[in-house]
Amino acid sequence: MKSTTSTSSNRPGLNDLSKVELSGAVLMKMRFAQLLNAGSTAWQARKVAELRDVLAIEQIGGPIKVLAADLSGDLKITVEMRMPVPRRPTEESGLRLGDHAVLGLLYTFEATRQPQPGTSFVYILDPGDVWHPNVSSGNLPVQVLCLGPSVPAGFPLKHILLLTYASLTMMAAQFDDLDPAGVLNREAAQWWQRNAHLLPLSREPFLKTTQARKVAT
Amino acid sequence: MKSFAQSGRKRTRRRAAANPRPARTARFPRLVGTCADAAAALARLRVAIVGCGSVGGRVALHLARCGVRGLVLIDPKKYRPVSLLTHECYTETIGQNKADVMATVCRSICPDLEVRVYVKPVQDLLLSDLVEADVVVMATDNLPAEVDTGQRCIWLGKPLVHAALHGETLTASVRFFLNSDGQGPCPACLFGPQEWRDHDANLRRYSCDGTAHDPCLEGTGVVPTRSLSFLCAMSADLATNQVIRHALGLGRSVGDTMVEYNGYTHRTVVVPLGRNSNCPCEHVQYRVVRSTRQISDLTMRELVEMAGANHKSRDLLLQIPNMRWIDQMTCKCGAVTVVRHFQPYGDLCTKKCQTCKRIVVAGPMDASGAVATAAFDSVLDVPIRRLGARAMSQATLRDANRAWLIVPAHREARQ
Repeated sequence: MKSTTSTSSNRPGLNDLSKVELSGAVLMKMRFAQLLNAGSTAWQARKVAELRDVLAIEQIGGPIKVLAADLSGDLKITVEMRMPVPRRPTEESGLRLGDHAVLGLLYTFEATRQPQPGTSFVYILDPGDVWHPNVSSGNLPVQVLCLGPSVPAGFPLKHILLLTYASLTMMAAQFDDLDPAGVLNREAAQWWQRNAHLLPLSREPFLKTTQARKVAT
Repeated sequence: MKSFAQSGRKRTRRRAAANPRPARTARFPRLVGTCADAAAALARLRVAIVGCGSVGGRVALHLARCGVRGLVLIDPKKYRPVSLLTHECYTETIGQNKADVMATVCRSICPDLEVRVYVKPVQDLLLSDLVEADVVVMATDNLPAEVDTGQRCIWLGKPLVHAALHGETLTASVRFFLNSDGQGPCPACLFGPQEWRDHDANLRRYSCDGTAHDPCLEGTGVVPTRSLSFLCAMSADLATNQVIRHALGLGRSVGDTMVEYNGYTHRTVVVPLGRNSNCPCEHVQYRVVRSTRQISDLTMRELVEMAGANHKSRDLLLQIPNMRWIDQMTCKCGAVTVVRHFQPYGDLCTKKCQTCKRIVVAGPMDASGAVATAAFDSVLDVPIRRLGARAMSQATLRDANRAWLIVPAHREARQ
């Protein structure tokens, strides 16, 4: 079986980000971040490539805006992601939906060569009350999003963003608090099980221009 | 009246007198083509063994009998009843750690053997834990451990002897990775699609609370090697032979070759091993720098200069195991609090915000495990100890093309 990627429009999808030419403010962000990029040649190049992919998503109108990027040690990117974000329900208004989240993305050199815990990549800097079974709710300085029991070595950041989008919009989330993988917020998991009719919070694809892959035989 | 301790000592002395310890060289042959001090050369050799099971355990015994100077034994697993079928173990040792048992046996064979034991997966060792070894022997059926050991040996420039077997075809094979310059082959270079699938299936998984589950250790992922005891011994014998040949320079170089014996045909095949350009491992060698002072007593400037690097270089990256660097923290009020301190992973770093007087806790985005030395500009002449990294047994520095591992010159012998 042979698979091909086709898009209905000429606008690129996730697999075509390397063809996107950065320009304007996005290009300035890239150049600014590259001023201090330390580590081995391979690690420097990897950080640049991952950041470029993220910026390319912003360039083609994806639901993110890069607020800050740091290539000096670990790769750290702060992005604002536009999507419905579930916030802790109140007695008066029930579930509240935010329209964006500010995310901290952390990508270490270790992540390129060893599988990492699903909790080690995405931190929710704002809002501070995300109501999600896979988002921590303890006394940590920021909320942590769990992407699963293990993230394979070298997993691209663009896919981490895609998973984050799917998770926070509740298109793909783990609700079963009895699952061995566990949940990070048991109370939220049980709440969402009782309110499954609210799912998902959005049916918008991550990149609107990307059509489903057509598989040709 | 004699104390128990005194009588015990006397008994030991009496037994020792009855069984005098043989000289290490009593049975050492005059090997063809070697200099006279071949035994002395072996007596300087330190070997690390990753996996002390049916193959690695036997290699340890052989090397102890050959009179090597030291062994580093690494194995997190324990003997099980089924181990009796293939391992050098007895019913009394079931339930005990393999590396621990082998260390005891090797010490009883050769009391002045330096033995260091690590009862944990090789992935959890520091790079500096293997730095004293002259050769690394790997005999594990855990593919993630193979890739990791291969990577460490490339980084450290350590020859790696990989002993393996295939029970169904009575085949014992030993691969020798020379790792002279980091550009040669490694175990991962030789992986095919099936190996990578098995590798991925045996990778660690984490529950939401961060607890690691290792399928290989829990026995849920890996299928134990099915083999016969003699084949394991054959693989161990071949591996030991390669170690000795390399250490004494016997015959043609065994570097980057695989020797394979087949029990059906009695054929032995030797083939060269090649590098795979698509190998995901990093084929770069670290330069090991030994510090005569405690690393934490050095300033950042001294550390960088000792390595021969330039602290003004903007691509120089420092990493201290289990430590993260916190440069500054941002309070919710927007004020920035400068920290410039190392903090152990897992410890909370808190400061009082000078603007709103609230307690600010450093988040994961405020910290960095690897930090550009350019960040140390203002604390370049402060001892690392005062920057929060008090106990450290290694530091690594990387720039675009070079890598350094800084270790103390004298490491305490640990068991």
